[in-house]
Amino acid sequence: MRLLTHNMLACNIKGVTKGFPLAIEVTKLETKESEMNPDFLRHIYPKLDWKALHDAAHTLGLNDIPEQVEPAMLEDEDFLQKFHHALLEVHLEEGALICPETNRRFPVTKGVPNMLLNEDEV
Amino acid sequence: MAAVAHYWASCAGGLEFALLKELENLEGTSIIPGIDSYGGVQFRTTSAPQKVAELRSADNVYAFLSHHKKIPVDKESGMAFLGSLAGKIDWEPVMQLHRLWQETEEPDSSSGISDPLLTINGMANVEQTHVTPQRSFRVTGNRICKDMKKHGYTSMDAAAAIGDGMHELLGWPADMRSFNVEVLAWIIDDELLLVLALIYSGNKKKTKNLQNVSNINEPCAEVEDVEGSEQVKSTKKKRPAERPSRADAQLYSRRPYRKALVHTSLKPSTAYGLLQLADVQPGDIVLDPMCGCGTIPLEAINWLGTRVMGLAGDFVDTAVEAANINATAGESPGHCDVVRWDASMLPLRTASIDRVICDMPFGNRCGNHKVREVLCPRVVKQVVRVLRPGSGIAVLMAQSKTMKEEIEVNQKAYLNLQKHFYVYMEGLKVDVFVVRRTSEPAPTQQIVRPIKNMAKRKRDGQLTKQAALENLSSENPVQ
Repeated sequence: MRLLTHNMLACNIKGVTKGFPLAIEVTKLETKESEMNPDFLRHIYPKLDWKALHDAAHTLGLNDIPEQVEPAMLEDEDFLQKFHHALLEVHLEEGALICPETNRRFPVTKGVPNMLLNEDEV
Repeated sequence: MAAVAHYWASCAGGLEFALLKELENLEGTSIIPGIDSYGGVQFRTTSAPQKVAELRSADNVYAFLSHHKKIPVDKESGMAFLGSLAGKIDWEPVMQLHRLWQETEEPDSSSGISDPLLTINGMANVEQTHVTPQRSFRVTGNRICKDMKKHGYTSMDAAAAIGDGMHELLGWPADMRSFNVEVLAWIIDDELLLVLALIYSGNKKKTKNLQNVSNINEPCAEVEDVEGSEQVKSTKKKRPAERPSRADAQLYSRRPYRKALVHTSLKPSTAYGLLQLADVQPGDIVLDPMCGCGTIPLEAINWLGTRVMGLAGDFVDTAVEAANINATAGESPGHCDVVRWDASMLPLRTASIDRVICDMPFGNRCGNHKVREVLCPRVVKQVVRVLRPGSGIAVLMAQSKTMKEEIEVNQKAYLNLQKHFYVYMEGLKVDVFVVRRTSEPAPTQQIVRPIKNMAKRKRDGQLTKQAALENLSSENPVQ
């Protein structure tokens, strides 16, 4: 799971009002290099919840993601590289996602989060 | 290479527009209209086989042989007509094209003709290929009755009659198992399309079917597909051992992400057609909430590369596993993540997704009618919630009577139906809806409440005991 996906996932247990962003529990990370596409990053930027990305990146030990981003930074190659790395290259292979409201734990195995709920949670 | 080749490209009926659009951009191509009953397009082109093989929207490409309307359907004159077909075909350019494709496929083979049996087993014996190539052929008949009751002949009869004619004219021996020329005869009512296969081997890297349902990957409802010989039939029953299934020898079988399949996997060519309808933009997140082996988002990134991000999810563990294998298969530079979830309760932020492209389960090999009538509207509600208001587009493929009403009446404020048409696949008629999300904000953040009596069904449609009890007691709306 990439942090871009994390930026969209939310806990949907019945009654939960603040199911986003999910906390991350890291057991194993993997970095898979990929080609950077600045155009994609510029388009995806306004769609992100930046604070959630920033916090998640820090949990994964990626401390070079700034807390605030100015639109001008999206022209800076160096920043785009860091942004690309955090958003798409680092994968959570093993670990868990945790609901901020209920502390429900969603396991991540082989890079796939299991977001299925139990009968009593829906 | 100035030769003009005459082709038939097949696709799901109703998605020809995608094929036509691609052919428009194929150099030296002219479309030949006139065949409407079959999904596909007839064309001539001067483009090389490599270029033709890049067509994404084609299921497969064949050398065009002939097309006839109003063919006799009674046994005697029908068989006579079919037997005379071979004599009416100019085989020279057809076999030239066949040779050209085999050379393109197997550049090492000095003979230019490859035996599918040998190459598939990885035993392409050098000595063998030096032997003067011997052509052997088979004819495969496929007969469908749409508006008429019955033909006077079976598919096997038809194949045999055409084969006899070919044998007499060309002198090739017929061989049902180890052939290197295959002619396909598709008869729909009193219309006949005759083509010659150009692709004889599938994905060389073996494709796994995680659901272990033989190796027939596509549902085959209501289509009578009779092989030309009893021999083939009996081996089929035993085990489809050495010979690859014909379903493998398709143009789309070569997609790099086609490593693992589930038994109702969508064809990549169909996925491409659906993507054409979604007007995907750079920076879009392309979601398939019921992804199966992930074909739709994986086709999106295979086609558009790093310009988009794919997101695939499914409920069934084998599907999730297959999608994950395909998503990490490499080669494609694009990004696609896989999540296990319930599409009727998507664990996604409201208004976070740009494009939803989803082929909901249809046919009788995946779920059943009752489950779908409950499931589909619930998925639509989730699609409404996760799509970005004002810009989101969804392409939904479904076989559900309630879908249209759900979109046009229940979700009227949120969805704008832009296009509704049918696609014909393996004899099934399936609805395709293209909807645009209106700028109306989504109802509420929360999950859509299941309707009374339809709550908490398992996938097999059985109401769980607990849910049945809850339904009786609790009637208060969620939050």
